[in-house]
Amino acid sequence: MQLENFLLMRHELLLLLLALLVLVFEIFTDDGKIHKIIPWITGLFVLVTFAGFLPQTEGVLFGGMFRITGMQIMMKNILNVGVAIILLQSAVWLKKPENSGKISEYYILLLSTLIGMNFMISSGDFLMFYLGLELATIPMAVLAAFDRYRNNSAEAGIKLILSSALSSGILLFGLSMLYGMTGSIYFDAINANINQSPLMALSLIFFFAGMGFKISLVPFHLWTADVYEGAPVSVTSYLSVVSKGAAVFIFSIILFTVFDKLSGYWINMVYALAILTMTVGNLFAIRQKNMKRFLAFSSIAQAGFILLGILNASEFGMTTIMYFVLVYIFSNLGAFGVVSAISYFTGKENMDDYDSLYKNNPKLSLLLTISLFSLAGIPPFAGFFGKFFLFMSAASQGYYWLVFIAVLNATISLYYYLLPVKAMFINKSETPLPVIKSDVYTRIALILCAVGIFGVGFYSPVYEWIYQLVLQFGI
Amino acid sequence: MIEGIPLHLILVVATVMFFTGIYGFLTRRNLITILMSIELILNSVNINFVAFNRYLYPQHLQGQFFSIFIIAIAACEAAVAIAIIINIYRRFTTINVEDVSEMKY
Amino acid sequence: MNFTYTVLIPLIPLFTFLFLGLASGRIKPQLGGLIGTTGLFISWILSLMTVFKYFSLEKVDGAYQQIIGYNMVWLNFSDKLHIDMGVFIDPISVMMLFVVTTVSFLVHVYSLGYMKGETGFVRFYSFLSLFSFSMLGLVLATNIFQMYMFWELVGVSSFLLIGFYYQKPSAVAASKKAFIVTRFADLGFLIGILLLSFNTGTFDFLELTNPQGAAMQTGSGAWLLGLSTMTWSLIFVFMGGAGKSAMFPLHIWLPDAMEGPTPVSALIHAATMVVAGVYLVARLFPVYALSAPVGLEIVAWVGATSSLFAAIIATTQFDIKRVLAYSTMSQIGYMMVGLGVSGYGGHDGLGYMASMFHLTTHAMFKALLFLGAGSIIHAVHSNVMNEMGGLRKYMPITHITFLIACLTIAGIPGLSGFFSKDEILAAAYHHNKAIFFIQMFVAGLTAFYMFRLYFRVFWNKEPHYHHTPHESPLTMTIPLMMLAFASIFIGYIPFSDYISSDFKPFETHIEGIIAIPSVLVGLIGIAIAWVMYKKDSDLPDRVSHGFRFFHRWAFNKFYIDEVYLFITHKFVFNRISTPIAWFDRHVIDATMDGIGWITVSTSRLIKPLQSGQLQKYGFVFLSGVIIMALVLLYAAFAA
Repeated sequence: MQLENFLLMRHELLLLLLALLVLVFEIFTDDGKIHKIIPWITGLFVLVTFAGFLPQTEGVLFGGMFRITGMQIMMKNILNVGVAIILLQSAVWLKKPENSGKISEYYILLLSTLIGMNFMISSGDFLMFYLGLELATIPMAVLAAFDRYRNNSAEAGIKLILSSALSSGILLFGLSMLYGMTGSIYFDAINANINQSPLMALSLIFFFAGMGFKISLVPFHLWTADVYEGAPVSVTSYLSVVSKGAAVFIFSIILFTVFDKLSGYWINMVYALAILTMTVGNLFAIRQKNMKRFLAFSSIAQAGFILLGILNASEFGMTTIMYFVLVYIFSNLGAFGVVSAISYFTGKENMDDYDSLYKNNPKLSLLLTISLFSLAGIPPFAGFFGKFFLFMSAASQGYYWLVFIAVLNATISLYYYLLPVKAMFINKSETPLPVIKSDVYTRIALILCAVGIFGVGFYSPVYEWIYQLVLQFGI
Repeated sequence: MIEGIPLHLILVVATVMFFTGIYGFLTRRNLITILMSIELILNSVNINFVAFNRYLYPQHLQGQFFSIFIIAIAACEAAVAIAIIINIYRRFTTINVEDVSEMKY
Repeated sequence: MNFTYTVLIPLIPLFTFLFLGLASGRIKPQLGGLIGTTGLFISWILSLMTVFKYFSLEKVDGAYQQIIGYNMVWLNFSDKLHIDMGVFIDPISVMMLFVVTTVSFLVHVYSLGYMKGETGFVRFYSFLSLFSFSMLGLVLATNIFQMYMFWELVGVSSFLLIGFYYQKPSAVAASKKAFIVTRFADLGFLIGILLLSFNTGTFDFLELTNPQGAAMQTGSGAWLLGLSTMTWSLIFVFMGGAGKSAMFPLHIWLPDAMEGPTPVSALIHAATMVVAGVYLVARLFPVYALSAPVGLEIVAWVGATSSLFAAIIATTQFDIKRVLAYSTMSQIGYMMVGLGVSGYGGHDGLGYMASMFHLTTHAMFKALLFLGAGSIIHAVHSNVMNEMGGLRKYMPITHITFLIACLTIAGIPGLSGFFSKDEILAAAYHHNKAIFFIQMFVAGLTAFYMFRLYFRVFWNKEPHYHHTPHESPLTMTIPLMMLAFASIFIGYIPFSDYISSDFKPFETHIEGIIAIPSVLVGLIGIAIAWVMYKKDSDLPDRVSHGFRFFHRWAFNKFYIDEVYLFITHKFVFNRISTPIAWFDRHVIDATMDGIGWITVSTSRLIKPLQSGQLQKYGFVFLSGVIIMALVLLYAAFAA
């Protein structure tokens, strides 16, 4: 193995370097001035994000444990974009006095989960996959329990760590059976030895349940709402967008490349869970009063839509999934950005508090409206294209009933996405929230989201670029 | 290969452990005990991996490596979970899992 | 000939939208209004140019050409399947260009007066521009995907415009309702598109509608319930069209949408957006006619039902805008009938031509009616008929133009409505007698309710006005006069020379057997309205007087009045119209509410699932795993 081969792991190495830099910064900074690292880290992360787009060779490391292709680089870049926006959004929250001792912790934990996700996406065997998965999960629990003095935050942390431990235990049990039957933990070798025995199907189900937990598919989703509500807003947006996106990527890669011979089994599971997830997510979202919980359930419903792409195990399906996640990052982070700004400046998180928001904060209300419309899939916002391609990908396989149910669910979702819009523009309030002077980081983040929501939809080369990368990967 | 003990007996032990763990997760009220139940699940997986490796595919050590990593990660998981449980005790003055349910519906 | 410039027609309103949207609050309201109006004026001129240029083009084989004025491949899915954005020029799109830009331009001018002094004047104009942009984009779409995009965008701008008075809770509720109901209908449209495009492998209208093309041949085998895939996809597509065009039972949003400013109602809910459904069916007409006749039959019956249903309800309404809303629904029903009873090619395509003809004339006279209503509302500050009366003295221009519009919609010979309605009736007569008689009856009802409105507002007893009504300013009356002019003369255009289902001109002539009864029916409707509403409606009083001064009343007259009263008030109103109106409000509306209610209560029902208890979560998780395992193992062993 040569030294330059390490450059194949450029994404991971850069993130690791950044995490170490945070530690070094912390040592050489006075306790009271630790918040000075915020602009540095944020700026450096933006640079890392740009560096991710530089051309890079493809290759394999560690005897096949680590694979890197154009498509996987693109996945990592998509995640990086999301994290960059989240870091911008969280800057103002981190500056709060109660977080002063924990700023570096936040960055290190967040970066290590991101490293975990990157390894997970690039994994070539189940060991690397599992390591990445846990690296992406365990620090996440700490992040969820980040607000030490809030009951809800602690509750979110314990619920996340215990239920994720259970789910990964079940996933591992499935993997051990898979190993017992195929004699390998490498993706290629497993794929070569796979057969349609019932035990194989059982291990597939265990794997499916474990990943379903990460993507929060019904009925593995119950932790989602509680954790989303309890965790700090920036962690919630991270969980709902980046963590979920990474899990979706690797889930579809493994289903398409490792379990492709078992597609007769998992297609039916995906089909059933897609319906269940969309419907249950929507039904719960309708009733929510807390904005974070509302977005949590909406994100469960969105996960159900993603499954439509997984049904089409081809380049087209993979492309639509990646495209949808990209679009979803912008839309959801736009919504979370506004919620987070309002939560920070006023401490209000309930939908009632948003009454007459338009009066004092027209820009925030408009952005939230655009984001929600995009989530609801209304043209010309990017969310529409994302959904449309998913529908097309499912329809091209002949799943017309599923598409029918999905479109019906999209219509129901419009109803509840309009609720906050109605609150902001129409409901009267004696005491509307005061004018919010958001800081420069939040503004940049929100502008990025707005640009993404409009741009990704209309600028079609994005889609075609992803498509080319997926074609090279070959499914 | 262990003399006189066929593979399926070991697998039975592992499976029993797995379901004991799951039973514990669902019924114990103490958060620490729930954590222990999860350790049981993970250890049953370890047994599976090692046994498969030893009995069926002794030429490579993939299964044994996997179980070593699982042990390490289980330790991390326990450390983080116990830290959070300590914080739970501070906030709620209890570690009964039923009381830790402020957020619902 | 080069038609690239046509891309500017939708783009100019887009630019004015962006400009006004960004500059809102920073420029003077009047200036903003002028900018919006100028933008539309340029689009209008360009559209007129296109009309003349296109119809003077050399015909190929005696047929008008279909031209792609501008095209850009927007997204490549595969070598075969791609999504384009472009400008499609053929007779009906050119016709729609003319209709949309004309009405839109006049509404822009009219709003300068009507919306004067409203808060958010510039915002209003930016929304109007956005709407014009999306509507023009829809009209010029080269493919069904582009059409769907603009279709939704039209819905969004309609949402914004209906909810323009967002301080008014009813307006907000109405805008939300319109949005959700049409979205619900678009569910069908979207599925129709997916079915259609995967069936035929193309989104392109040119390929889809080519009678000799490959697309036409596919999907003819039975698929579901004995109908072919093609038929199903077109039925689904029509569902979207029915939602946008407020066809029964998806019409419930239209009357409520009248909460929006009146110019908006004129533009969106009378002349342009609501006919998008008709346009959609017309756009795909060759596919309907040649490969899914069942779909066409459905179009015809939905149209006939809606037109009858709406006309009956219109006779009971007191809000003048609601009368017009139901009237619009009824007239669009006419257009749908026209398409539904049409065949493909030559004189068989009479219904197609008539439908497009009626679309054009209806746009003119209905916009006129709405703008006239706006002028009335502007003068008396009320929507309700009871607070109006005798207005002809105060508002001469509004009065005359309104009368022209009423005569036109009633189908009086010489005015445009007569020609177009007559063609639809003729087409129905040759195709389906039942529908013909329904439409004939609706023609009478139309005349009745329009003149009921007319007499109550302009004649009848004068209520006590808080201040004397006055004629509206010139910015409002000039569009009225222009539209009145158009309503009279547009009927003399020989439409069949320009528009036909197979692009080849054909001859039409007025058939006496249809024209004479239809005129008579119209006149009867007017006469009944005259008797009932010209003077203060004290018929009930006169009836009771009649018993006391029996000898002083001519027996004959009394008898007529009594029977007439019985038939109209007792029978028609109480037994038919009122129940139907009730049905509309309480059953159809309530069904939509019921769907919402079911959703919400299901949501409450499954609430305990989210108990907050970690172990219950674990339990559900494992149950999920076990159920999946059992199902799959069963499947595995059963196989």
